[in-house]
Amino acid sequence: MSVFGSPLRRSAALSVVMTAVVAIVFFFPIYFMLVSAFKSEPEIISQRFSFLPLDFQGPGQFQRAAEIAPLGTYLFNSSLVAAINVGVTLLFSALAGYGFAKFTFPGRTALFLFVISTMMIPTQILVVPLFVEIKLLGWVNSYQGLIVPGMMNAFGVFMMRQYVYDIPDEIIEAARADGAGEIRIFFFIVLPLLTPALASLAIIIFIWSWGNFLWPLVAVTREELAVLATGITSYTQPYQRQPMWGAAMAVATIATLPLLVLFVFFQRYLVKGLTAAAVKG
Amino acid sequence: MSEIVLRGLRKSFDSVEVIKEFDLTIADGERLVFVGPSGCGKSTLLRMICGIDDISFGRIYIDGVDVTALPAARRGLAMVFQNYALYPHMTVRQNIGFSLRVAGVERTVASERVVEVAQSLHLDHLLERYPRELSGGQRQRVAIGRAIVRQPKAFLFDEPLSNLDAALRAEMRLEVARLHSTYGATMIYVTHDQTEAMTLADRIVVLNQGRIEQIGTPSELYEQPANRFVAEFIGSPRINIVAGRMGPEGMLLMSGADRQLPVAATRDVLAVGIRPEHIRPVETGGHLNCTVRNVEFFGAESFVYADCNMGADIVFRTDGRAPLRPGENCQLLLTLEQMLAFDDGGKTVPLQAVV
Ligand SMILES: Nc1ncnc2c1ncn2[C@@H]1O[C@H](COP(=O)(O)OP(=O)(O)OP(=O)(O)O)[C@@H](O)[C@H]1O
Ligand SMILES: [Mg+2]
Repeated sequence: MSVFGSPLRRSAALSVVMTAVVAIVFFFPIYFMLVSAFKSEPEIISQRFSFLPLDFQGPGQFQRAAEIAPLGTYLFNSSLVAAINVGVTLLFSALAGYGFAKFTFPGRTALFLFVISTMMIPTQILVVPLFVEIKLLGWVNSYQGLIVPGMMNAFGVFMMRQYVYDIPDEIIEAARADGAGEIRIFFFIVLPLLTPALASLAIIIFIWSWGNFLWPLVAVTREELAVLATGITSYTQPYQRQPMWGAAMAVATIATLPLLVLFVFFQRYLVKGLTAAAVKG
Repeated sequence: MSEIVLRGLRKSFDSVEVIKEFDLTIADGERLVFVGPSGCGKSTLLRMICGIDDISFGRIYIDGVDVTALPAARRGLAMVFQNYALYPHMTVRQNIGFSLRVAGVERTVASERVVEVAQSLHLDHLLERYPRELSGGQRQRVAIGRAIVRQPKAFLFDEPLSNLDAALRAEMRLEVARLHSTYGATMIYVTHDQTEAMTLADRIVVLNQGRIEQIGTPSELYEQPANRFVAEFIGSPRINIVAGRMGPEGMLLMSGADRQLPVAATRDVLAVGIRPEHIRPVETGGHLNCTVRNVEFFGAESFVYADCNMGADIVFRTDGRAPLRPGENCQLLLTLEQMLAFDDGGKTVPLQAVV
């Protein structure tokens, strides 16, 4: 045995160290944002980084942020867009996933491959055609224009289809034999069994929607329709003033909080599977 | 109540025909059991009757009404699945009550019925549990409860006891029999298990590759199997099948026997069959000479495997106290009246005693 202990223990120690390093790398920007929201402007832009605010601002930066731009409006818009995107995407994904997984119909495979293939097109490519589309519909600078393009998600369909596959056919057949119609089966049997998967998808869609920058930037120009992600530019790219990093960091902190809460609240759904006891192996 | 009639039923998966031209009438209140080797189409048949699987050809009538085009939900039959198929996110109470809820039965009435059914299945103390918190036998009872709660026209059981251990299976078998006598509904029951088939059935249907080999009461199938397949399928341990043919003197010659047997067949035969209980060891004057190879002791009886110089071993039943030991020689006497003979197509050929 070497002085470093057994190879097994060494590799365990190594993995702990690596995990710690990765965790620090990921956590640091969040920490930077958080402390900066309580620092004074010169301190934020100074060359020396201090771990705690030297000149603690209290809620000052938050108040400033709210004075400069309609923060409440941004928050409301972000929430509205995310809520509708999450809700509708979940419903459509579950419906489509159920259809693809449990029903046979002509062209099923082709249709599914088509849906999947749309995942491979980068959003950046879609921005211009989508913009043309909403312009033709007269939806530029409207909630419809902001929300509708995000209501369907190929990844969601794909993910739900995988999870629906795991629901034993017999459970659905039993419900049919019990006299349930297809709509009832979907809402009372399939959807509840998908809860853990739906929770994960909800988080994914929420994060995506909440952080989506490019599309809101293109689809709306009016400030009362701006979301947090685009609204934050009011602080860093003002036309007549200095950038206000402190206010920006305060807004970023506010924007991050819902995500953290969501993670804590839904975490158990990310690991727990419900279908395990459905069928005796 | 309900009579179920199947007319010219067929089912193909892609190009493979799984059920071939199936005709059967199941009388009201009858207990019908489907048996057959794995993959012969028992489940498929049940699912077609229930309305879960589409029918390729043919018609199904329930009480004279053509239900072929009706979805499962509107046929009024209840099915119990082999793997229970309980709703994992619902409690026992909700599982049993689901069909009533679907049917829009009034809440108080429904909950009374659920409790009633749960009591009859000894599940009343488990009503708030989830399926994952139940034992196999309890899950099975919930599955049965789910079927009986709606008082269906008929029960369809697909190997409902196959996942249970032997003791529990015997108990549940009685439970199913009791259920039938309580509710009196028509029952179609699929099983692999001989005992279940023999004890639960008014009539047994023996299936093979999507066809009916024979329909009859348990004793008909046992005593007068229509062919070799049925003879081999019904009965445990399995019937002994030995090569045989008609000798020049019009008497049966059996491979391994040292003389002609005084029975005659009306047609040429290829094989003869004799059940293990129709063979017994004797001191002298037996039909076969053999060496005991192995004895399986079951207490009241033993199964003896003996080498009679005819390729496969002959198995016979003896009293559990019979003093046979492996390696011993003995003579075997056949009960000739109970022997079966089969022609080259496997069909049973009647045998008559020759005087
Ligand atoms: N969905 C399907 N697609 C293709 N073939 C199928 C399908 N379902 C069943 N089969 C085939 O149909 C035949 C009959 O199947 P079935 O499940 O009815 O057999 P079974 O008699 O119930 O067998 P077991 O005793 O093993 O349950 C089998 O050969 C099976 O491979
Ligand atoms: Mg089966």
